[in-house]
Amino acid sequence: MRSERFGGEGVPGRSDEELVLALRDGDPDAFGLLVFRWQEPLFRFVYRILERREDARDVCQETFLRVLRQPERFQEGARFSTWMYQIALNLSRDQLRRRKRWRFLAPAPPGPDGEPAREREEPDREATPIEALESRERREAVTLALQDLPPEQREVLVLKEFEGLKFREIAEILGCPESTVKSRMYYGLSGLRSALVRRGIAGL
Amino acid sequence: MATEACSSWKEKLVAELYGELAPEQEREEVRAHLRRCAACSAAWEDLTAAREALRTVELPIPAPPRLALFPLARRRAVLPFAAGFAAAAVLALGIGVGWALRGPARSPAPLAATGLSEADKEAVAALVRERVAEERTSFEQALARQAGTPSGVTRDEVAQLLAASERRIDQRRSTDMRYVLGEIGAAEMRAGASIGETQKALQYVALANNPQASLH
Repeated sequence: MRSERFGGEGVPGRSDEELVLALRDGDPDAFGLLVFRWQEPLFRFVYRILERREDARDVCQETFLRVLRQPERFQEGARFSTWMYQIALNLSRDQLRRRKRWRFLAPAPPGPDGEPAREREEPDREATPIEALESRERREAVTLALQDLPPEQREVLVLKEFEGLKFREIAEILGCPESTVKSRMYYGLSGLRSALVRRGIAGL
Repeated sequence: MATEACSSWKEKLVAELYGELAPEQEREEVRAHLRRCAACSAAWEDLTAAREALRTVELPIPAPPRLALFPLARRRAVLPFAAGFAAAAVLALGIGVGWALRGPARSPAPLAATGLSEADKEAVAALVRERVAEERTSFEQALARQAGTPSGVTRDEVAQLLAASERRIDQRRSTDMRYVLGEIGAAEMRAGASIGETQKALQYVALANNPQASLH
């Protein structure tokens, strides 16, 4: 889809890295294209970490603004996505810290905020009411179990399972050894499993 | 409770789970260990089940809210977008004595702002007149302050003042350009159009970026 949009209309399909270098060199078109490409994936990622739509939006905005203001911070030879994830992750951590600090004033809601999900994510229409209920329960259980994980395990889990990155890439984003990433992944999955068993959702 | 794997095998189990164990020999080692070790074998089952749970449960993601890059940028930027118009006009008018001596800073192609309605042109022109008046006033005040000093104002000082002003304006314009294009990109993304289709918006941007733009 991407190549259709960018290749066909006389706009050369420049890579993300070429775009950020162009932005650094003063080509303002590059920024619009980067936002265009990454707005949705970045939002998905940040939302998985923060579970609140408005917080996720703020972090995405700030991430793009940092890219815009300081494209010279991008290191040539690196991947744009790695750099972008790094910025977004640091901002998300700040956000979580702030949230923790103010928790005594406004207790966090038990689940993700009540934003309407997209229609296609509704359970199968053919499902019986009981199946639909079970699927909803499972979804809630997994969401809550994910929320209960320590942030560093959750980050790794999201980057691996939802973003589909290699352990090497995650290590690069987090700035830690690959063995640490794998270890966090182990404890993340293991913790998730325990939480699901505790909630009686063992047989998935 | 999930079963704990042998500590020296945890990372390898995870790597194997995601198909990132490279040499076949290493994979075979893991498989052999799983056959021998009850704890690791149980842990493997847990890891697989947890992964399966993540994969089979569709976790909803809300529609991303509209990014407001421009307003945010505007709040933090030195001057709003309109400064770009003013800058363009100031440069075009070339006020100040030292201006002519300096020669043209660049030689832009004249811009024909076709496609803008008369009302649009008038609105832009009015904005430009207003901003130019502001710029001129502040410039004249600065000049007067200089002139008020006993030594008076030299030709060089005027030239320096103008050069500094030009640099400031250039910086503002390029900042404004970036914000505006980012905003257009975001707007077109929501509208499902591709970059470059919003001709009118691009013309405004071109106006802001071109000091010699002709509005009429």
